[in-house]
Order: sequence, then C-alpha cells, then structure tokens
Amino acid sequence: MGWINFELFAAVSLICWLVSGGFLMLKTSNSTFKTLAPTVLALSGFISLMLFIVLLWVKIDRPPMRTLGETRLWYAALLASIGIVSFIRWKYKWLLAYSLFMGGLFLVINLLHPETYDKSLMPALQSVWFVPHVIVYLFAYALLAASSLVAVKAIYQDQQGKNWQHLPALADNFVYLGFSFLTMGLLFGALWAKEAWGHYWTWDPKETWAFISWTAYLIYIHYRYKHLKKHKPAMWILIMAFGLLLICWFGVNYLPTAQNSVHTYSG
Amino acid sequence: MERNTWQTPWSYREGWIIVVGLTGLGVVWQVFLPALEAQVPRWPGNLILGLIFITLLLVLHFFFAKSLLSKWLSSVPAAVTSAAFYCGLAILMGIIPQGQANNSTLISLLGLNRLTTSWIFVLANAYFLSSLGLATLKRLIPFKLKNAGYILNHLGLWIALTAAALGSSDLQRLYMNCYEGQPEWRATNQAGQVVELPIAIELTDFKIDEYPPKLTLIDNTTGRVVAKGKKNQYFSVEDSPIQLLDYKVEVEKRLHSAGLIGERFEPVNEMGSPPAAKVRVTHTQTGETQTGWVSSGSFMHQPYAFKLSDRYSLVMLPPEPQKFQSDIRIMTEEGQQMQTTLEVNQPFKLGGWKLYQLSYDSQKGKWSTLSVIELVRDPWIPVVYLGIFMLLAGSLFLFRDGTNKKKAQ
Repeated sequence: MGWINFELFAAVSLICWLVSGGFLMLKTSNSTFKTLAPTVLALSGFISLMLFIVLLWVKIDRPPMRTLGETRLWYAALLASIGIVSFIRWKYKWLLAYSLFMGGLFLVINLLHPETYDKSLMPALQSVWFVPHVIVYLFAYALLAASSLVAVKAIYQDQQGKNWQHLPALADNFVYLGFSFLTMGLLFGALWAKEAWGHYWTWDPKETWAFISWTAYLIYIHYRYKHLKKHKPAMWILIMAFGLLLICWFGVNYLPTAQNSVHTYSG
Repeated sequence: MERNTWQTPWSYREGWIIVVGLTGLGVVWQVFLPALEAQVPRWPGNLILGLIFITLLLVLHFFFAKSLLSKWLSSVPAAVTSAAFYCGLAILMGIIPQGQANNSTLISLLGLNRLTTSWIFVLANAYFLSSLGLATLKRLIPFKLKNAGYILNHLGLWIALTAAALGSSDLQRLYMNCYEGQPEWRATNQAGQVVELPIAIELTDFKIDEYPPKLTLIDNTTGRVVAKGKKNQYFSVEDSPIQLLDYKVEVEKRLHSAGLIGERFEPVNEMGSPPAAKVRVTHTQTGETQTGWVSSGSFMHQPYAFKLSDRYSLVMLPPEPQKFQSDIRIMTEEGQQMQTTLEVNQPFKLGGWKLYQLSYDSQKGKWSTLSVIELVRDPWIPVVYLGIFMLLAGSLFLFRDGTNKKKAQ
C-alpha cells in the first residue's frame, strides 16, 4: 500500500500561495483582486495542507508531530493561518505575503527532504499531553515568527528612512499571544515530564533552550512595558529572541549537549 | 544632562554592573571556597531559609519601601538585567554538557559543567527572585482586582521557582531493579548509594507489546541501510506489498515467533524466538522474482538476511516496543499488600512516593525478566504546582491584555 502523495498536496498549497502572493503584489483598487482572491487562495492552500496532515494522522495512526519534518508541516500551516487572520483583521498585505513565503519555504524543505512516515511512537510520547504540548508550542513559534517578521520589516523601513512607528504595536500583539502560548507549552511540558519521567524539570538541553527563549521574550515584554517609545532596541531584542527560539527548535539537535536529550527528533 | 553611574534612580548601567559583580563574587566563591558547596539545606533547613527570604522581602516592602534597594529591585531595569543574567547562564548550560567531567580546567574550576549547583547560579537565582518578589509585593499589597493577571503571573513564577529551588534538596529519585518473582526492597539513589526502603516490590510479570517489525534494504559491503535520506527507507511488514528501490516486496507468510529449520522458518514458542517472514521479491525492471526468508534475530538467535543481489540484501529490523508494563505486588512493613500495573506515563502513587516504569533489559526485549522501577519523592511538588497553575491562569490574562492593548491603539 502506498503512502499519501505529499507532493500533490504540497503542490496545491504552494501554487495557491504563490498566486495569492501575486494578487497581493497587484496594484489595483478592485476589492475582489485586492482582498477576496488572495484570502480565498491562501485559505485553499492552508486547507490542502491541513487535509494532508489529517490524512497522514489517520494513516500513521499517531499524531504526526514526532519528527522535525512533521513539525515543519504544522508550522507551515499555522504560520499561513496567522497571516490569513491578520490579513482579514488588519489588512496587512506584506505580513500575509511573508507568512505564505515562509510557510512555502518550509514545505519546499520537506519536499527536498522527503521522509519516511514511521508509525512507531516510543512509549514515553504516548500521552494525553503530547498533542496539546506540541500544538501550543508550534502555534507559539508561528506567532513569534510573525512578530520577528514585523521587527525585520521595522528595521528595514528604518534604514530606508520610512515611517515605521505603527509596527511595534503590531509586533506586541503577536508577542503577547505567542508568549502566552509559549508559557502554556513550557508548563504543559513540565506537567507531562512529571508523569512520564518522574520530574518536572531536569535541564534537559531542549528544556534549557526553551527556558532561554522564554526569558528572552520575557525581557522583550518588560522592556516594552517600561520604554514604550524606544522602538529600535525593542525590535532588535525581538530579532535576537527569535534567533534563540530557532536554536531551541532546530539547533539543539546539533549542540554537544543534546546527545542524551529526549527531544532530539529523527528526521 | 547625563546621569552619573550610581546616581539615583539606577538604571540598566547599574543593573549590568551588579550582574558583573555577582558573577565575580560567584567565581571567587567557587574557586577559592570550593568546600562551601552551593547546596540548599534539607528539610527543615530549606523551609527556614525560605521563611527568612520571605521575611526579608516583606521587611523591605513594608519598612524600607522608599529605600534605594527596595526601589531598585522592584524596577524594570532590575527585572531585565536579572532575567538576562539567568538567560545568559542558561545559554552556557545549553552549550556546555552538564553533569559530566570536562577537559577544560577553566570550565571545571568555575563549575560551568555543573552550573545548577554553582555559586554563580545561586547568586543569579537570588537576584532574580528578590527582584521578582519585590515587584510582586508592590502590586500584591494593597490588593486590587485589576492586578489579578499581573499577580498570577509574577507570584506564580516566584512560587514555582522558589519552591523548586528550595525543594531540590528534598527530592529523592531512586532506581530499583526488580526481577520476576524476587521481592526487592533495596534501591539505588542518584549518587549510587544503596537505600533500604520500608516497602518491598515484587515483579509478577513484565510484558511488552511490540510494533510489527520493519523491512529494509542494506548494502552488502557496508552493512548500512540504503536509500538513506530518501523517502521510504523502511516499511512495516504490515504494509506489504512495498517498494524498496527497484524491488517490490510481498510478505507471503508472517511468523511472530519462529525458529530456523534448515533454510526455512517454522512457528516455535521458545524463549528468544524472533519474528520471521517469508517474502517474495520482484525486480520491477527485470521482472525477476525470488522467494526467501528474513528474520530480525534476537538475543539468542542470529538475524537472517535475504541476499537479493551482490549489492543488496533484504533484512528485518528488530521490532520496536509499543508499550511496556510491569505487574507488581507491593508489600509494606505493616504487612499490607497491593497489586498494580506500572506503565510509561502511568505512574502509581504510594504514600509520598510515585512509582514509575523506567526501563528493562533491552538486550532481551520482550523476554526481559528485569524491570527497572523509579521511585520519586518530592514533598514540595504541591507548592511548585500551585505556582505552575497560577502561571497557566496568568497566561490567559496575557492573552486578554494583548488584545486590549490592540484595542487601545
């Protein structure tokens, strides 16, 4: 029996997102082309990807969240969903364009590194905490990625001498939401660890890096609270915080400390 | 006009100087007074230490609210610098492998390979918790309902971190090797010492459920899995027919427990009998078909590969555990007996202890008669959980505050 054809679903998503991005670039006043078409297309791409995830879940009979490649699928879908929601809510074209681009990039990575969808799931991962822990985390990652896109845009516009004073407030929205998901993910992980491994916190390398990225966003929130007008350093803190978050997500696997981590993914 | 360093109100500059100062103090302490180990005293010492800390914070809050120290510690620059200090140490911890000897004398001398028990870490913790504690008290007393979110987040974090730090010395994690039919009351602690327990545990049965074994192609010369990095490098025998490179593999017969007789396998029911499968392999380009056996082998028997060509062989991988569990009987000194089943993710509570299924003899796999049980006692856990649940509730407020902020703009 063959596997579900990922290439097909990914191609549908990529084409939808590409065309959606094309509409976003159009300089037109026609609201069908300006708003409706990109929204519907972006949404179709998202649905195609979610459909693949659901089919895969059914097929392999476990949550598809175990390998790095599987987390990339969720990330691409969630990032796109954040782009779509913020486009509908605030009409930020560029944010939708960037999040579709980033989501598409992750799909392309998966296409270039096809992986075996392995049915087995080690006993420690068979827990009611598995799904909420991973979903909440990936949602946090996607929101915080959106916030760092805003920060990069702010710094770029600053260098271009353009006005970007409205952007930090948008970044804050993403950070607040993302940070509350990040906190939940961290604490769900701690509660799960107590049930599975006997202790809620063991400074496992992934835990250590999760703690590092959590404190980095904590610093951003406090800095913004005190210095609401000092936008530039805040945007730089946000970019650095996302760098640390990326180490937590991908980088940990390559660090000398990670050899004994329960979080090293295969794939 | 530019403010001079140490001129009030203090800000980031002073904050960073304090961090550097604490680091220096920690290093000196670590290097020159190694005998004075950074260890939290055990019960009731840790409780007393905690009460002294709380008293100090309360005294600062109520009687010296206007003092420089109190104002400084509850300020945002102190929060940011102390969090950054903590974050920086965690980065070191995330890069330098912890809990093992390090080749670098500098790292060993400074205790960077066992940071959580170093003085620098203790000082960072104290700075962070003092700042967090005073900031919390400022909003907690007098209490206002509109500060609920702030209090849940800050007090929750303070409670969780303080209780985790103070409780670390009362945490006991013991490992017990239980063999089938032999009651055991001795366990080993993390320092490798044998501890006698007031309870005995007898393993009555150890069971493993396994996933169906997988088939894959290996290179005859290197012995490695081919098609590595490409899609579908191995398949479960359940998914037959399967495609591996140019070979179509069909499983004709599957035996869960088999023995080799001549050149074929027959069902046998003996200890150590591995799974086996009869497969028909068709080369999709030449149409050539061959039939043969594969077996994963076990701790008693050699694996059996099916040589397809000079280059490739088909092999069966040892089945992976899906679930492992121990049926145990627990006997207390008072003569009470109880039976339960331990499973990963499903610990058993007994008095102040929690019993966990940890591992087994992985060499023997499903024929293991050994089950390793972990016993954990952490009397401070209710306090830590109080903090964790406050933080979880607080994160919902963060949600709301984020949205409100948006509306305000």
